[in-house]
Amino acid sequence: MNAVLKTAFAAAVLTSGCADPLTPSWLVDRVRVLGASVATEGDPSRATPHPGETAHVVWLLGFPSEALPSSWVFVACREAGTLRGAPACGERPFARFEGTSDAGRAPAFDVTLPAAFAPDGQLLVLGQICTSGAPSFDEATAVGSCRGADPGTTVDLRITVGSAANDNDSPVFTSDAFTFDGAPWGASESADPCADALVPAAAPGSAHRVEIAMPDEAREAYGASSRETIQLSHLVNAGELERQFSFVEPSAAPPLRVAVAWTAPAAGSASTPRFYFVARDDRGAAAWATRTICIR
Amino acid sequence: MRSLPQRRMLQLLLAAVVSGTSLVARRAFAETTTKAETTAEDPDLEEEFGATARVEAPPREVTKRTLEAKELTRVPGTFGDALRAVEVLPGVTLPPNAQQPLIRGSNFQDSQVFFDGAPVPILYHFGNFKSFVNSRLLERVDFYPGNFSTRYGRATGGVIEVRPRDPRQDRWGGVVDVSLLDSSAIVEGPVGSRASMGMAARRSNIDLVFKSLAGSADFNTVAAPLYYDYQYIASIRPTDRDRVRVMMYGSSDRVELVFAKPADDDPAIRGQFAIGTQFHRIQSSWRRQLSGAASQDIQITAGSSKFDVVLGPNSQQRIGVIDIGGRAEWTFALSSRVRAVAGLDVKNEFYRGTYTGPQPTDGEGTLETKFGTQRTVSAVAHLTVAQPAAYVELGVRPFDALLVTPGVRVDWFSNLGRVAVDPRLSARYEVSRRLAFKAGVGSFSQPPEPWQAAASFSNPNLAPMRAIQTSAGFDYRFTDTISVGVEGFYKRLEDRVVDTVGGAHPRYVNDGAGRVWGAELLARVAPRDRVSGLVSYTISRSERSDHGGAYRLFAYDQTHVVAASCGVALGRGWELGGTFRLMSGRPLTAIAGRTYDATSDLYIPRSGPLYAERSPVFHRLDVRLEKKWTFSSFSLATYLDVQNVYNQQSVEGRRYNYDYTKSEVVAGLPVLPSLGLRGEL
Repeated sequence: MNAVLKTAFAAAVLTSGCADPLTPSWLVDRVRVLGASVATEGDPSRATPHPGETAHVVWLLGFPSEALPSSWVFVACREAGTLRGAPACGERPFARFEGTSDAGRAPAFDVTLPAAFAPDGQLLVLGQICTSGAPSFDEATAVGSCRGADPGTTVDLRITVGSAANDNDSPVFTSDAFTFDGAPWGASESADPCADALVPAAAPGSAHRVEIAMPDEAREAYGASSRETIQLSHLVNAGELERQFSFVEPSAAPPLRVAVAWTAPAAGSASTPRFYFVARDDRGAAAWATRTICIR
Repeated sequence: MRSLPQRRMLQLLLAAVVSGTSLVARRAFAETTTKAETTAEDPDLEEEFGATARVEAPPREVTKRTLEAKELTRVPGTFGDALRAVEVLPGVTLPPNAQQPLIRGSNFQDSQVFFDGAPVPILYHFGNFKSFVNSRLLERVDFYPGNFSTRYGRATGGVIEVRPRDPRQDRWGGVVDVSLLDSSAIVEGPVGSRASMGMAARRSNIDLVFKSLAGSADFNTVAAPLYYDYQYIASIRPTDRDRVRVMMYGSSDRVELVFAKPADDDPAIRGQFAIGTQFHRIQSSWRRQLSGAASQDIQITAGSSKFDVVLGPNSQQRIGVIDIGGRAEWTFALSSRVRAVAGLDVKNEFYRGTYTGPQPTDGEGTLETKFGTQRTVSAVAHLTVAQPAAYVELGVRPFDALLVTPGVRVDWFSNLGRVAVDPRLSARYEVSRRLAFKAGVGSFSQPPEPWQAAASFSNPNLAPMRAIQTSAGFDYRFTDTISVGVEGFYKRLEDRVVDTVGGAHPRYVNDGAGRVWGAELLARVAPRDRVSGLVSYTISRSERSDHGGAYRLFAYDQTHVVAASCGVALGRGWELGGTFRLMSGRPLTAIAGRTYDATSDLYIPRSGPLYAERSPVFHRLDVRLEKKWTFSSFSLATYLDVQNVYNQQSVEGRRYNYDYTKSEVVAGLPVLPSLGLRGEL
């Protein structure tokens, strides 16, 4: 065990501070799945459906430019309880979901948990999401594919089966959660972000500071003395971001803010910079938001 | 490393144990073996028992390879470290981040390293540049790649026995050695006419330059990498028949950094990173010649070890271990043709501490995955492991040229509640003074790591692993200094402990098998004259099977391993040496696919056929140059040890991008010089 930790330590030391010559993880340079959220029917803030309840599962896709339609297939099963590697079904899936989503609409489905599910167990969703060609997914091998040019993405999501003792609400981004160089940064649905007053502007190649604020309530207390950790993923389809991940640790004192540097793309970049922010607590719940920037 | 246990009632400390190193009942037996006045297996005995000629007795093991004091500190590329020097011997490789050398296709934990008969808990300091002991305090290193004596157990691989020397008895003196890597000092000398003592201490110098070499805005250095070790040896000869040796030794490594931001490829790696490992030992031994035909060797060892590792907020290990062990060995010359050795060998470990982190695994047979995608397990370590063993061995010479050594070892593993019985047999036939044939077969048992068999954490029903080892070969001496040895070997592994698929309950099972076969050649020129050196070659194949599946390559299998090392005394105090290594690349596993894990926002790779590919051939040249000035009362030397002289970019592995669709090679160390200055009194 010590060898495992030492190796990881050595790897961390050796790779820390190195510019990654491989594709940076924060760059949405192709269609990417960025997360999934769970909302319990009748109590949408709760991410832990109880046995017999229905959960609404939504997948977040990131696009390098325009949003594309998607097709998808998912199966739901009881999770096997493995500790590493891709999670696997402990028994045959009890439900299968297939569908398509128009451009701009996220893949989504509703799953009703069997009443016999044990509280505090894990429901596993496995599947395949494609933006080109029909998806297929082999339940036996948990391998998916797309019949098209886009290889698609094989995905998994673990959903904690709730009980009165372990219910978990999804984290939320408040309306003032994001600032760009200290100025409020609102969401925009406008086709031309430069025409929207809520959208900040940046000069090509200029350096900026993005800040995300989380409410203290986002870190729920659970168990005897534990408090959630919030993992923030920040990605962008243009420019250069300092890193992909930030954390709000249980010990962090309010106000809970993280900052990340971003350099705007050079002049001539075709894409409007779109940021994707995903907040995850360490008990399986997630929420997301997107923001755009006007380059001029 | 041994750690991670689980809750258990603390058992009473087992009684201190007795044990010993091998004293050979020599004279009567010797007369029939070498036709010399003595055949001491241990050169110490020459002095003790008045030998007038040094003729080594044939080893109890099929294969025993010894690196003498003169060689231990002069193998180029080892920075003068004795336990790095074994890398040039056949059957040995030392991959980066290895806990200890890999021997004949066995995994790290399957072999054991002993310091004067006692197992060593932590062999190397950071980076594997230096081991825990100052090499200038050593008399020799004995290496048994397989088919070793019943004196050794709890291992299915090989054994390395590090033999300290007695401190000098002629006068007080010392050595001071300062290099870029570390600084050390030795002081030793006589205490009266029957005793001597020596002390050594070493401290790394890396921390002095760490910030300037590795300074980065990405991490803060709380404690720069620092290691130290120390050894104290007192040797007393109260009578002509007795020798008492008391040793204290220990080692410590510490580093603590705080990373400023999470790693993009694995955000679980963030925040505090600290490693603090140390061990301290006191060890005493008493050798007594009971009569002309019987001797006794008793040894007791006690100490403590700490393994503290913090790797981000989700992985923490704080384990303390108290070790108490010992040996007692009695040797009898039953007749002029029969020698008997009987012994007890006891090892007790008391674990205390906590572990939180990914499920421990040795990494063999699985694809490495990111910490952030692994579930966290926790355990409280209150574990007692007692492992007493008894062994007996005969040395029978039915006629002068043939030595047959049958033996049996019985081990008890308290945490498993199981007994292992290991019969072993070896034979050596001396066709002439130059040529000898040898062969051996035997059973070898090894307990699982304590945490693998801890009841509430993993699988208390595990059984010991077992290996059947066979080997045969010959030794030929061209002259007193030039010799060649060739051995072939086959090793079958049974009941190997493997992880369950995905780490599911009970996490570890005896569901693995293995087989290793190959041949080794060692040609050497002993360091008696101006020139010394050796050439070694190993061809082997090491395979494993998991859960009844087809055999695959072992993670560290290397088909061809060649090492050539030589040293030349050029005169006027100049010495020049070089070591060249050439070896097959290590196996690699291709990525067959990936799954996006929405829970962690990371990708989990899907393995292709395990170890179906190989990294490119590895080769490297190391050179060592030393100039020594000798004055009337002291000497001064300066040396330059350069590792990887022509800066060969060896491939240590592959590093992947975030979704495993692109990769790049991870290169090994570039050219690495170490300049040093040494003064000797």
